[in-house]
Amino acid sequence: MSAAHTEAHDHHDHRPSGIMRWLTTTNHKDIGTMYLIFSLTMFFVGGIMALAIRAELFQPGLQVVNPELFNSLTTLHALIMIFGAIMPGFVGFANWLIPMMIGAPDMALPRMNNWSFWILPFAFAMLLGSLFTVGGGPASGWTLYAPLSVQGGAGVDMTILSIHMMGISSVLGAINIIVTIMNMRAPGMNLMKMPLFVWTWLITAFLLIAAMPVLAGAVTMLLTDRHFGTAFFDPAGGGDPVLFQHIFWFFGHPEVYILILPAFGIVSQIVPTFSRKPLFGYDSMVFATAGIAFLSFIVWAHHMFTVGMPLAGELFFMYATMLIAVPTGVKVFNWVATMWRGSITLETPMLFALAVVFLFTIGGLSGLMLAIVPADFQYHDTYFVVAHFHYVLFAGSIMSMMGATYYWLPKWTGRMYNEGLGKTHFWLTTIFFNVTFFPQHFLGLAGMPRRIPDYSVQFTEFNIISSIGAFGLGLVQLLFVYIIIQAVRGKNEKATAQVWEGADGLEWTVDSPPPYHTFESPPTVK
Amino acid sequence: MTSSQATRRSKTRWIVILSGTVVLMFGFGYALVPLYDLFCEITGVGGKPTVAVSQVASDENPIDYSKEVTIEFTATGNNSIPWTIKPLVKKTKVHPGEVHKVNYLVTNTSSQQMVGQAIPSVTPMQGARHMVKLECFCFNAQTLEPGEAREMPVRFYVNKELPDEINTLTLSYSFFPMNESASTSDDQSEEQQSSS
Repeated sequence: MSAAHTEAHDHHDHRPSGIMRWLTTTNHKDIGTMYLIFSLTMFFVGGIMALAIRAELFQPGLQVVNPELFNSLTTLHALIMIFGAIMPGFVGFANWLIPMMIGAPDMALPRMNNWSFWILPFAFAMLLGSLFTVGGGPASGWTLYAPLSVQGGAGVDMTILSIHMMGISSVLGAINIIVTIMNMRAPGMNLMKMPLFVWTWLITAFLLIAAMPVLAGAVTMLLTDRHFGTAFFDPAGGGDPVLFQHIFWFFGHPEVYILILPAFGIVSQIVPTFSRKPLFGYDSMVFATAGIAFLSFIVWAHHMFTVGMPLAGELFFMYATMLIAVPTGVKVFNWVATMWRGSITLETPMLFALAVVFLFTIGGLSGLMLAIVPADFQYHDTYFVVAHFHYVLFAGSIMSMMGATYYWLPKWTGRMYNEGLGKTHFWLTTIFFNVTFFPQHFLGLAGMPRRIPDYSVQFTEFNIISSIGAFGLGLVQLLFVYIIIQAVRGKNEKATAQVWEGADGLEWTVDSPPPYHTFESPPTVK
Repeated sequence: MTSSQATRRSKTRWIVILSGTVVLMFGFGYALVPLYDLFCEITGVGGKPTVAVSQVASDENPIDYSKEVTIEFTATGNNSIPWTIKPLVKKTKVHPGEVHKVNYLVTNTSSQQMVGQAIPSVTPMQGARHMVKLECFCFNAQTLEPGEAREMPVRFYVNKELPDEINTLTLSYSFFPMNESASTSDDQSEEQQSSS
């Protein structure tokens, strides 16, 4: 039985061609590619929504979109960027890289892998379809707070069901990743030898398994409140809308670490390569990641300081939140210490990694400000919060994925990208990002509320700057697509197997591009 | 046992453990509902007033005349039911431990018999647990005939553990419509009994 099994795999590169290859593939590289293309597509869909929002906010008054559509756009922008761009993007990197980094031939559950990808296009088709229903798309913000989300038309139901589908997809993906890492490591690759990207994904996958079902529960309660006569969140039936916020954020806070931990992993791969030194404090990095994951489950109420909690509760959540700065600080210091006295070169991936460290730290510091209860009463639901989470999500997650794309693209395609264009893309992205989001700190401190299509005239100047930055930021991403296409089409300089002089790890031992099946007999790890 | 069989068994074990965790966490989301209610009941932060009979003034537990608390009574109309509700007294001063009774006038402005349930709320919420109701029209659903107006009583006291910094409590009511079948009012249940 097992002998026949091995023989069947001897036909290298045998696969259906055309569309059936992509529909039926169980190959981790193909699925990774599909995830990454899907993520990039959703990045543009969500980006266009962001530009519509910024166009509306270019000047006070109502010009471009009506308020109902504005509400739907803010809701969908967030849902698409979080569940459509960032999460599938990281899953794409995980699919491509984890088997190659631990010396496994493929993911442990390849058919489930295929299924968890192919759920996504349908989920997002349904989510976007909600815009075209009577009553429009969901208008409650991505947090779907009751009672607003208990009202609303069929668009809200479509959103709820699409969240169920995204949840199933990410839970299946997470199970697959854990089973792969736990069972398929090459001989000698013990847990404390795994590359940090694999470690951060392992912990992220556990977070997904623990957090996503809670979100599924919360939106199921919404659905039954809407249609089946339950009253979880309706005071008339003895429910409580604040309960929704507690359940939602019990999912929501681990979720924000799901969105950033793989980025930490990516930075921990890139920085040592271009510093030509091993990562400083590997063990402490692993423990810091686990520490952040644990703390993420006991800080959720800092998103809702203003609902009226007992003082003891506010103090607990404030101190617990500030405690997260400790393991996060450990990580930042370790990256800096890795660069200390290294022979640093500044290729595009390294530039992105440095920007992530620098800008994420700014976002982390504004997060600390938000953690302070009395200050949060002023900052809550203002543009300060918007600035904060775009510094950690765009500059942290998205820019780490851009860096990762430049870092591993030569491995995947066998061709170098155009370094000059890559650097141009980096600098324009970083500059326009700051032009867009830095002024939003000031807007928030001055009291401009978020999620409102109109604003007082004194906020005009900063909003104009922010909108100009946003359009620049959006436009520059077309250059990113061009650079990728150029490398994929194979006209550029050929890449070596190691690609980068300082690169270390199993994925750099196979050819660039890697054969369709890698590590069919496991490598030996020293 | 070959190593590939061992791997397969280990894979299956992990899949079972992880799927079990997923199911468990889905259940945990639902478990948060009673946990939340329990937490609010213990700490009194949900704004829902306490229903209890402990600490009523007695010889061992005299009324605390040294402190006076202002109680304000309000009510909020609600689009979902055509009833008006207003307190007959807007404001009163009580001593902790002293039992008071206040009436609300509730009118059914529609031309149909209707059943409504009053939901109370106390602000500030830190005081909610110290506002103790002995009798309240909010304990049961109320049935009003078309156009009927009825005075409905609430008997309460403020317990002595009310923090010193709170000297005003506001008791507010809002009525919500009840399904006929969910009604617990007396004549309704009699009808159900006689028909069954």
